[in-house]
Amino acid sequence: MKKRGFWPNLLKFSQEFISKPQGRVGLFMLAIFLFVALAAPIITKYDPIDDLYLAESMAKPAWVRVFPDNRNLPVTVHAKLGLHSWKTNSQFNLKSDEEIGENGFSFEVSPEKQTELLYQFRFESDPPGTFNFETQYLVKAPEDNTTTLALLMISPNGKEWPLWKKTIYGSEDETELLIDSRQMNLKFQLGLTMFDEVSQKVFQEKGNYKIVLRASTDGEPAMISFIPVAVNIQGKLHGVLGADHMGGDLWSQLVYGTRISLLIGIVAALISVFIGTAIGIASGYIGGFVDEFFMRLADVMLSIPSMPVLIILSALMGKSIWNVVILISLFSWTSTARIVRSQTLTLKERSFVEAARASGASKSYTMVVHILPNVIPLVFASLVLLIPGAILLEATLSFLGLGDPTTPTWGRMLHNARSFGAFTSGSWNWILPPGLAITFLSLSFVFIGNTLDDILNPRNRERS
Amino acid sequence: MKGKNRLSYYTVLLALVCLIASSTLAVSYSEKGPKADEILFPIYTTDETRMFAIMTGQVDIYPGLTKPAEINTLKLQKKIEITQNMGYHMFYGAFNTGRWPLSEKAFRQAFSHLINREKIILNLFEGYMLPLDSLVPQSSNYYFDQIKKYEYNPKKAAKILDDAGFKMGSNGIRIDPKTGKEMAKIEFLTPLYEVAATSAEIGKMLVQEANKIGLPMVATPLDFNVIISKLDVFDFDMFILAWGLSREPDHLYSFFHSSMAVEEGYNTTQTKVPEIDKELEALLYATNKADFAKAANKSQILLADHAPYFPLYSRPYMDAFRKDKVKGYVSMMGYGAAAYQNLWTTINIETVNGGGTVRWILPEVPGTLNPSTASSAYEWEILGRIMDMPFAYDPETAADKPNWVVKYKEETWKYTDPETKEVVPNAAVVTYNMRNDVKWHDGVPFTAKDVKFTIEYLRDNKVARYLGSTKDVVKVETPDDYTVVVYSATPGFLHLYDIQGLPWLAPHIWKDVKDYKAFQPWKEDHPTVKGLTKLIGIGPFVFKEYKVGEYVRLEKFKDYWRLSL
Amino acid sequence: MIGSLKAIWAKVAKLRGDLQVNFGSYILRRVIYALIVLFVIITVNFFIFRVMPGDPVKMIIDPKMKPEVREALYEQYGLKKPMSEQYFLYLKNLLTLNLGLSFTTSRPIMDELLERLPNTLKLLGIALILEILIGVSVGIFAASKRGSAVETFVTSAGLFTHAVPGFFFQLILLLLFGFLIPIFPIRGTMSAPPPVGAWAQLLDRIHHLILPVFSLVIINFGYWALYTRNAMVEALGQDYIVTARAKGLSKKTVLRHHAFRSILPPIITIIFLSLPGIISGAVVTETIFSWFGVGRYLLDAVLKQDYPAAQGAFYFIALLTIISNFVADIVYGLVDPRIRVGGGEGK
Repeated sequence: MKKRGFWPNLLKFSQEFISKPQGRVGLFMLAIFLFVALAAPIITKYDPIDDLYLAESMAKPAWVRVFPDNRNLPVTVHAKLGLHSWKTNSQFNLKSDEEIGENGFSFEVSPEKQTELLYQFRFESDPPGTFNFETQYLVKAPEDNTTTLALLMISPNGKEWPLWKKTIYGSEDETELLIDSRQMNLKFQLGLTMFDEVSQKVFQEKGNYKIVLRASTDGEPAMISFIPVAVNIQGKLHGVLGADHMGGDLWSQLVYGTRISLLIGIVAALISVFIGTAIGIASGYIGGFVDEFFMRLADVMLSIPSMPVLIILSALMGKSIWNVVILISLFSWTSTARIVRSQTLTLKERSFVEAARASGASKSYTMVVHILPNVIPLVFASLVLLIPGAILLEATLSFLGLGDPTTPTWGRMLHNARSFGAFTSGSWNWILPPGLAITFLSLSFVFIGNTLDDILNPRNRERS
Repeated sequence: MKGKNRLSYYTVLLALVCLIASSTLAVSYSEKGPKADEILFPIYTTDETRMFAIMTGQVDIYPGLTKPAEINTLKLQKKIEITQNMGYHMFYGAFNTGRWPLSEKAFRQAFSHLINREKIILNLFEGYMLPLDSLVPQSSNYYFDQIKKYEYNPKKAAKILDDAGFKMGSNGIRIDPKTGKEMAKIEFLTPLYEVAATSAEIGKMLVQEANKIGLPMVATPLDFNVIISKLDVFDFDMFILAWGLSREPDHLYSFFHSSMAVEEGYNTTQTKVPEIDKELEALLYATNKADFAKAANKSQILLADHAPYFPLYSRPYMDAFRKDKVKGYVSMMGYGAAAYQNLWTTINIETVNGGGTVRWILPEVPGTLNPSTASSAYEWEILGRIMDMPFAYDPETAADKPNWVVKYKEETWKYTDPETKEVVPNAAVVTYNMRNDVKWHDGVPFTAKDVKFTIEYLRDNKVARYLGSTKDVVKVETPDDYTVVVYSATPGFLHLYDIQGLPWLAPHIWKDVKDYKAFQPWKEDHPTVKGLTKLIGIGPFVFKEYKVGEYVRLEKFKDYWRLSL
Repeated sequence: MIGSLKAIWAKVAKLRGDLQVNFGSYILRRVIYALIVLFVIITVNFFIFRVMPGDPVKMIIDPKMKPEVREALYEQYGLKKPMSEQYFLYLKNLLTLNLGLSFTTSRPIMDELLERLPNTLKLLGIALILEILIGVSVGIFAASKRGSAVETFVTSAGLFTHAVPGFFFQLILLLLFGFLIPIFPIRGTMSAPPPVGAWAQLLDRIHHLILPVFSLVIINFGYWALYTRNAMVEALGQDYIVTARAKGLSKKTVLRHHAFRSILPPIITIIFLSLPGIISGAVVTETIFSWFGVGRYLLDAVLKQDYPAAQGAFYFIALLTIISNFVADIVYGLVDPRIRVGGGEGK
């Protein structure tokens, strides 16, 4: 007799699928997530883990500027002040100097006159949270010279802010210079307390600000070299979704999180469905001891609380997402196994299987060639329905602090949000997107799975 | 002069430390107290509930702020004051000096130039840490500035390595002068991300710097227990850890004396330098403060040059108080305003209307309230107020304060054995005078016999937590009810403080306790006084109840001796 | 989860088969089965902590301990004996509920767990009862009014159960009603200190229960509603119900006396069978609402790397699950009409 499978006509199947509203909505949502996952590098230019300090910690999304309250919030300013950026009071001696580094510059200070390099810029926003200067310098001077270097800012109203000053005896090798508004010694120099914000004081008004590099020496003339001075004024507005506690881009975390969640969900479901199908067919077809053993095993798995086991194992096995995937799959094969087993039992009695057996086909051949194709439609629905479970479990584990800290998952985003005060500071832009993303991705799979189940499951078809 | 150059920065820092100590000491304090009628310790185990609680005013005190995000949120709250104090705290990395090439001093010194403390502190702690350059934190009176400093300078580090023979190879990895081949991997042990994210991150940053100049180093985050077990048997290359220290820097002896370089000892770096040993012995056995300070300075100079450790930062203690609800909190050098070691806050804190109930966040569930076994700081947050902390230091200068329950009167460094009539040299005989107006919470007077009982009980039962203070005690004499003489087998002015760190155990409660570990005094009713448990002390507050997992409640001790000062 | 629902159905079908033998041997089989599960769990527990990377001894014995204490512990756990002997010692310790001492508190782990058990049972018990009452009634109602708004509601509630991350929902509730509109307590099972008077204390405890219980009910009742609805729809389609309807019995009577009665046994079973999943949920709920319970103990132990405590807590939770499974089987045997009527033999 001809093989009678459950493979419906593909066209008829897709028509039937599309005719169900749940199926349509599910597919649509999944398509969006798939697009985001695939196009991640195009949608966002930042790396979710490695790009840090892009903006002030917990910066708001850039588009909140449409609200009047946020109109003047500062945006991030990154600048490199090289040879041509500076104005000097002794223009003739400022020259390029590649010895100290790329685009470096140097100038000579003579004892008669202090040299001043000046850079002017407009600042039109509210005060930023933090700012910093980063550079390297080098001083060449005779042994008994005393050279003084200083960096200061001048507010529009003319007030000077001495941010850094250093006295150098003789020469000095290349030295890193980092001035940050959060440094405690800087706050102290300016007569502020530990909890004062230097940036609030310096950037009190809007207008033209000056950055001044001052140098003076005694004795012989001294040569002073700098690499371009990096100026970073961290903005309180950033990107599509703002920034996390380390100035990381939340939008890129959300976008790359889609990839990971999809991957985890699908791989975990695939593995567990693979295990479940193999066990289901084997116990259904072979029966006897094999059946008894696997079904008891499934009973045991069903009566072990999965979350405690996952917590313990993930702590012992280390924090890789693949460990999480394996653990999740080990706990979710039972349902597939049972469904496949009962289907196999029915199929076993069908004439085409009996015919194959009679013609001397081996057990494994029959299982793979005759049974497997006929349980696949069934397995397919259960595969899709397992995915949201896996996604939620992974998110929960990450949220509890048991996930992989170097993988940008949604659970990790929520874990960080909770650990680093997003809930207290009301950073909805950090809390809501990952939570809603998990919900909608899971929902799309539930919709698709339900629709598949309706169409493919023989029990449902018999009932209707 | 190069040294002069670098000094300025750290001098500024030192001045800053003094500033932090003085600027927040606006509150004057009294030695008379306690003032609050009741202290409640509700237990808040999650970050967000602690923040919700202090911001909505459900609690008055949130001790031990560490997260920059929390500090940044709370400092904007008008009703909250955050106190700041330098801590006796040290975060450091270490080398196994028993292993090539870490045994090479030049190698260690070169690595020390790879540490960008400023960047670490800014990136990971938003500036709320102090860079540390000595093995004694700046908060300590024994911090010494005139030592070798290692500023961040990768080029210098590379040059030191070149000069020591570790030349750069063709693959960007340096050549081991001993073998002539590329250097073997050096493993840097750090705590796990989920346990101490910042420490793991520091490990990663340092390894990146090392790789840049051709050192084949890898960071290995490991379970804390596994790290400790590796350190115990010297099975490591490098590691990072933190220590909470105390006022006197005797930790130097434990960490770097050759006698401690045994398996499971404290000297995990295997530092065995006779010159350093000599100074550390002078430190431990110094019989006066001047000698002690001199030895501490010399040890710091030698250790900075030998560089078995690289200090990273020291943590300032920050505590948040609802200033609209409570007053009387006192900043204290080394421990902070809300720590249990700070007696002044304990006895001065009260509601703004006077007296009343003060609510104090307890961030973890105390597992035990048995003073002989309790080890976590959270358990001592409670016990410290019941047992009367002996740390009656001046909060600003950390000098001893005159009013102690048990105060040393005189000391000699030898004694005559009454039986053999032989003079025992190199020993300590310390005589303590006691106040005669001190009572236990159940009204029984506190006398010399109680002190003798406590020392002997802790020593004879080998109670681990106090072994350091009791193991050298030969005998305790009580010439009268308020005088105690303690004989120790070793000399050293630190012995004067040994007795001050002990929790006084009431003989009428503890004499029948056979298994001190299984004893749960807070769960058993007091044999004679109603409303008390067997958890009693002589401290300013009386233990009333512990609803496990929920809260602990303490009440003012009406007969506390400081109330009649 | 829809998948596990099917597995449970399959199990119910299997139990029905078992029941046809007789009640005595049925009980015996369940006892043997429970013991096998117990044995598997103990064995897995034993090996997990010894097979994992790192020195197993260091995982069981706190490295910060003094050497003499360590020696004593080596003795207690028999860690210097051969593996097989260790295993039997372990088996004996666990069967006698000797779970050892916690690293962090040095107290017996069993004491610590028992201290927390009432809180967990209270939280989960109340939540479970409410979930079922609401879920089952809504489900029956939906089955009786097919195609109505109630049915849509049940379906949506089911979707909510399967798609919303519970921890996220609970955190949002905590943020909304604990902080932004602070009308509910944010931590624990009682105020610190609780008010005076028995009634006031009871009210205080209820006040603390509301947020965690409410969140659990919202998350989970859709599961019960959907299950009940489907079972009812199936039952209503069966011959004897159709016959009863044809005999002229009112719809209400049929629903209550016939259809509902027929789905009662599987519902009772599924209540008990769902316990492992519900206990799993306790970890998250107890953590977020600072509930002093068994689930949080496990998580804390793991995060603090207190291995004996983690192992003990896991064993304890598994034991709870085994017991509830066993009770489920017995209760099922008792409520199944075929057993009661036939006194042993099947229908």
